[in-house]
Amino acid sequence: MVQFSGKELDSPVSIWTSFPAQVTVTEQRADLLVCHFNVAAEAPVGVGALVISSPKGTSGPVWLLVDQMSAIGEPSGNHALNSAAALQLPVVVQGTVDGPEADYFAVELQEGQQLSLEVYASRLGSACDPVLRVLSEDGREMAVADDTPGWGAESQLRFTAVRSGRYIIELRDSSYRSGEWYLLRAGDFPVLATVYPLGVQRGATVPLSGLGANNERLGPIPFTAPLVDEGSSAVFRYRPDLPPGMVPLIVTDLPEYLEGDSDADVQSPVTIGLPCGVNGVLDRPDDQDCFRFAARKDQRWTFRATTRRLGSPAYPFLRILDNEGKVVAESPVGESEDLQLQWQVPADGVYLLSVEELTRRYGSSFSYRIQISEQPFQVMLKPAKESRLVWDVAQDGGAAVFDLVVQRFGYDGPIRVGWEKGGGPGEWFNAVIPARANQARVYWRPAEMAGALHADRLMAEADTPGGTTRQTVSTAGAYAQQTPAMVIPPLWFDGLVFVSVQSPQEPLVRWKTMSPAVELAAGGKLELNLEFERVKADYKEAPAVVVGQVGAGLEITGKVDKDNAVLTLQASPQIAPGKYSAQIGLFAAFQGRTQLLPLELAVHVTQAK
Amino acid sequence: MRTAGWVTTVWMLGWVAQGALAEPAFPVERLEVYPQQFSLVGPYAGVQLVVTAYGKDGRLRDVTRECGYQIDEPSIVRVERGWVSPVADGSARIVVEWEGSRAEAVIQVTQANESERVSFTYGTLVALTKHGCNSGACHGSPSGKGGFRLSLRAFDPALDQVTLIREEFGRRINPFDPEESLLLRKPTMKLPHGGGLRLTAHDPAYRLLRDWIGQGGQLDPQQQPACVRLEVFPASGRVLHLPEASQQLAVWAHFSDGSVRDVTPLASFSSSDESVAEVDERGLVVGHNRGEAAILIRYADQMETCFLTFLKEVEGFTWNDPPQYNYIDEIVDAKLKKLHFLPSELAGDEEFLRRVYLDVVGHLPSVEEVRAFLADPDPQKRSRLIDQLLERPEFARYWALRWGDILRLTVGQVGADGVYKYHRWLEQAWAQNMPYDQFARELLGAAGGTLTHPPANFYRTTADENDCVEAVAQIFLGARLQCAKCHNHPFEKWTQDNYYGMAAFFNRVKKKPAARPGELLVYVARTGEVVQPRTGRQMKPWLPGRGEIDVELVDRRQAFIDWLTAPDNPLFARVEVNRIWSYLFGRGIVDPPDDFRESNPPAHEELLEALARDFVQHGFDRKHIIRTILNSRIYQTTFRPNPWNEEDEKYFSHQQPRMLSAEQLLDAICFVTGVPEKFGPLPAGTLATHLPAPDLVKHEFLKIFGQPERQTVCACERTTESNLGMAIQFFNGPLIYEKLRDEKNRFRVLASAGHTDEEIVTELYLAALCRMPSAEELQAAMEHVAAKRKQFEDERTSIEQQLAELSRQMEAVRQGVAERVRQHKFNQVPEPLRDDLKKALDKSPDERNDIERYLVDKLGNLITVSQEEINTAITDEEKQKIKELSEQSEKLRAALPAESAYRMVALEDICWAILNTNEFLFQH
Repeated sequence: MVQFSGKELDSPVSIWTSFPAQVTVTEQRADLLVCHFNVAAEAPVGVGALVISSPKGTSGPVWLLVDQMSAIGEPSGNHALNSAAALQLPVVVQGTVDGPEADYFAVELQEGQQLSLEVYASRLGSACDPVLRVLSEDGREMAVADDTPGWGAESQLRFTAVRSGRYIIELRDSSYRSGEWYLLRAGDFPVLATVYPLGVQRGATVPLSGLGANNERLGPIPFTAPLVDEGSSAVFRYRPDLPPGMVPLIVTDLPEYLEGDSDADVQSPVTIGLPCGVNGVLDRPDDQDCFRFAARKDQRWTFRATTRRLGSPAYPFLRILDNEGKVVAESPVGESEDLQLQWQVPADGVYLLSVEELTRRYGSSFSYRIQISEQPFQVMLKPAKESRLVWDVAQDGGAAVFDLVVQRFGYDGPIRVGWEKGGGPGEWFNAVIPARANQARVYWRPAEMAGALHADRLMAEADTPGGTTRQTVSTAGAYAQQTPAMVIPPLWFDGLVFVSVQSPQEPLVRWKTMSPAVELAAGGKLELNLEFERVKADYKEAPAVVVGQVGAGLEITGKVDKDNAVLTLQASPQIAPGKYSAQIGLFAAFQGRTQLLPLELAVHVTQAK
Repeated sequence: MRTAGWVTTVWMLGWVAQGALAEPAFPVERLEVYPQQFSLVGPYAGVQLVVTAYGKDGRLRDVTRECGYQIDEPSIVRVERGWVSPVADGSARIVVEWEGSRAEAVIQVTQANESERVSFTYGTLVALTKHGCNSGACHGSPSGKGGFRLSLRAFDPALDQVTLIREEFGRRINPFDPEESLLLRKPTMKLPHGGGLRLTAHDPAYRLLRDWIGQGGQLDPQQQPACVRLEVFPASGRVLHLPEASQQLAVWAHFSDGSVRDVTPLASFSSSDESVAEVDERGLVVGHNRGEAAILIRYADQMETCFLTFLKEVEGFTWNDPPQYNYIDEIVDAKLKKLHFLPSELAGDEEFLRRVYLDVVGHLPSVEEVRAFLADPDPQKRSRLIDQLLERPEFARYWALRWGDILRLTVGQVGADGVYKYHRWLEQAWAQNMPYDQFARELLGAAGGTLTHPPANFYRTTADENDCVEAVAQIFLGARLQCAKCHNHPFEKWTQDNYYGMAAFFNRVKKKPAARPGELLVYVARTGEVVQPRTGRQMKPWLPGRGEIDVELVDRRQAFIDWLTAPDNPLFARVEVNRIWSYLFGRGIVDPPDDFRESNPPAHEELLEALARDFVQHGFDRKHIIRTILNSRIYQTTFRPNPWNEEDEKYFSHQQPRMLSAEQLLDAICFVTGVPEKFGPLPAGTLATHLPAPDLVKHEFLKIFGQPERQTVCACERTTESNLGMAIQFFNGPLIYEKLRDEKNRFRVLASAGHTDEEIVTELYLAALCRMPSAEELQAAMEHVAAKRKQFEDERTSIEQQLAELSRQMEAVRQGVAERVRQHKFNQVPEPLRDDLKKALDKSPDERNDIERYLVDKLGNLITVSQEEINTAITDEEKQKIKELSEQSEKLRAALPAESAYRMVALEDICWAILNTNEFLFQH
């Protein structure tokens, strides 16, 4: 049973979950919504999210933990040693930090019994920066945990009771914040930072080791990567009846190579074939892992490291060495959490990928995965506070707008933007990023009734020389701007966007011209003025002309001049004469509302003159 | 042609025997002259003779300026104040004589009258340095003076060459008429000179400059031998006895071609402690007081130090063999005995208790702790207490405060979140007694996110590699390198090359923003070199004592750290034990504690060395050193001097009182008054000594009392020098005022609980001063309470009297109105009856006859006055009058002190007085 508090919760709601679950609303008021979640047994454990949508609005992602332990709310009044709230293990406690007053919990332990404590906060979007302590009953500090390398502000701790008795768990915010919430997991479970290998090929079964921040290593256990991955986690237990320690990993379609027993150093590198993922651990001082591969001249390869998003504290520094050991490329140290190296092969040959730790720190939890693939372009939602992942758009006219940034690496052609799963009925406008463009604004206008909620992943696709390239439009940077506390959103969240259709609203603009028809010769050019009127009197800004589906061989650009949309139509010389249609639109945004007003043009193409 | 015969030079005092003399004050066993033979080559050569008289009592005395000099061949050499200069080629024998004893020196002179090239570096530049021309205050300042700029103390001969020879079209020198050169006319005041008279024609430097100019102002050839070291005679360690405690020094420069020259007249001299001894420009040291002084001698780019000890007989001094608790006492006592300082007595329990709490945990003991300690008869209780205090969590927090000062731990430097994490790491390091070498290693080798790995904040607080090397040097090597960034260090052996050579260990440390808000990522780049800005040379990493080294590691810091923390590093352990010592004594063995240099020698080299050795042998265990020091008798002596050590400020014969730090003072005030402070978001009960950073919670009181801003790593940033602002805070500042008036303060709570005034005053003394009040103090307090009671009673009585008078006046007004009304009514009675009624009313009821009783009975009520009638009849003026009187009464009633109020006022006064004593404000 999950209770939501807020405002305007008394309308019919749609609830999207990142995990398979049946949701039943059991109580509903304007300020309260109570739902029963029947989570499927096969639901992946770990960080999940849900989004609640109604005709009155949509929540942002609500982060939660899908766990195999039962959860309770924090009892009140537990702000002193002698009023510590008793806990029955294992348990998950949801609480809030209270400034200078710490939260106290009491557990009874036998001599030699081990207790694991783990706090989820920033992984769930909370700004809480927990500090955990285990105290004796008289207040002496027995163990303390602050940040966890790899997971940042989160705290993890494994404690062994030296004698039977009552022990106190103290939790507070490092900077004495108040009002920020946390989840405290307490029980006998592995306290893990990350796994090795971090990447597993879809459907494959691999031995997986759990890596703790204090050089603890569990396993290996056999792990079979799911065929459909929506956020996989590896689960480790000390015994089948004990609660789990959970760590995320990546499921991919690429072959995954491992550092192996030879330690993959310069003298004995691991031979790999591209594209692939390579996995290793930087566990010794001056550790340098090397992977040998063959490449052809002018190939362009992108080496992208993933570590911190999966709990590893490593900052891999990548270099490419030629056959003579000379460095031919190295990864720039930029501001991104994930280091990346883009490299154009200078000549046919065999090369070495060298992986070292940038900070010169090492340990058994310094696991890494480097994806090596051809990525002729990368598209991301502009990392700015204004870039929204959640849109409320009005029925019959509202549109979601996405400002995109493009990084090109060897491909300058056009790039198409669309949904991964189709996205439901609706139309895209300006959905082709022009050739050589490094930024673009695309629009999606749903064609559904109020109450519909789309959750889908933005994709970018292009016909590149090597074939069709399709990849996720990354939203991680944009989300980090809006929710800075959530430093590392889960990998599965990347690209996800939510569009909710709300009740219709008064339009901002209206065409004066309906269904215009024009005639244009092949190879010709035509300028067309289409008048529109402002329905909302105080809407004074200039709308934008956007282009939807256009018949092949036709090109349309447009701008607004006062209350006219000025279009320029151009027909390619090769276009066959005939009747074509072109979809254009007028996009207006005002006081948080958007409207995209479509118009279909009938274009009669005649023989070239 | 030489003149045959002896020429006797009569010199100074005591030369001529005057008949029957008293027993000599210094019975001489033998006289020695140094050097006994020497060759002078060239016209500029010379030698400083040093004549030492050895007494029969084992003492020695320098008599260079007092003895007589006889030269057998005065045409060959001449002698002036022991300085022998050549006249002509040949050999001469010089006999020195003093108090009937003799010694000889043989001098060989060659090329005395041949021309010799004056070296630009070792003649011209040395001459300018000798006379201060290129000092920082004059032409050696970055902008020079009067358009004439020289390098500071000639560290940059290339610059000086340009300035002297080429600049201004070479107008500074006149080879055709050297004495007309500006370079000579100005400092000799033949022309106006802002720097005044700096040179005379008799100075050796003048001659060098003149001759250099006359020779055309030439530069040195490529193969010019370089000066590689200086040698000073006498060597360090000579002990001289006041009052006749002077010492002539002789300075020899050794050159790379094996030649040796006496450069005494051209060397620069300075004393590390002029209260002990001063030195003149010719190298004569004159002792003033007992103690030790280091004489710094500089010539060109070389430096040397000569340590001298000065003793004096102290009347009545007898060494009393105090007990020695450990090696610290043995070593300190040895020096005190030598210098004739008698150590003070052991501090009493009260004094010790207060001191050790403040030094170890930063705050005062509770009243219960004081009582328990004072009542404890165990002779080992001090050691036991020391052990307990070192294990308390407040120990770690308090010493984290000290290191927070050094590491510039502020919100401004490391961010709001970083402050807590960095401070927590420091606290944990102390709580776990992290060995100091590991501590340094973790700090200097830190990398990663500054929030996840708090020691990485060390690099967050350094702006660049220059700031980094200055911080590292000052914190871990006790060296203030800042000067060497722009030029060779004026007071130490650090050169500009050394500075940038050390920076080469740290220049690859980089920082970039991390994804986590407020965090930086510290990492090490694989490439990057340091270029010396003046010479353009790429610098190899350089270590003191080892020179330039090749480092193959990507992270060069590791090589520096390995060197720094090696057990045989001469600086690492010494700096830290000295720092700890300075915290516990208010003054370091080297003071300031982060200023180790030749010209600032330790007050006690042997002690420093022994502590450092002990520190290393115990694995850099700081708690061990603290414990050892605290357990020494020296630490536990009283602050009160005795007649045989009241002059001593540096040899630890007694403790020196020092003001409580800002944080300690605030905590102490809160503790004594029982009213704690609340510091922003921090939990209730947080002490000022536990505050992570000064800009986390800004507190005016702390600022006024010297809380540092932590803008530098210098120990000097924290100051406890008193100022007017501090005085005002204590006289009538809001902090103390409010705590004294707080309803829940200590003495009010005690009073409410039924404690007597004596008990309360006793508790205030125990809380503030860790001792019982003396009988006189208690009596004075009780008298003050009594006086306050009387004052209050008198005040109450006076006010009550005034109230009564006002009440009477108000009643008089009312009575006046009533009478008026009654008269009016009386006048309404018919005339014939009026007189009779009046007569009847004038009588008492018993005296009235029947008729009169009848009249009163029937008519009396007609003339009765009701309140309503009074209210109606009262005039505005009368109302106003009553109102005024009533208001006056209210005011007086409000000022009427409660019967027991005197007590609280008296206790406020007593508490205030205690807080304003030196005994409270100072640690002793």
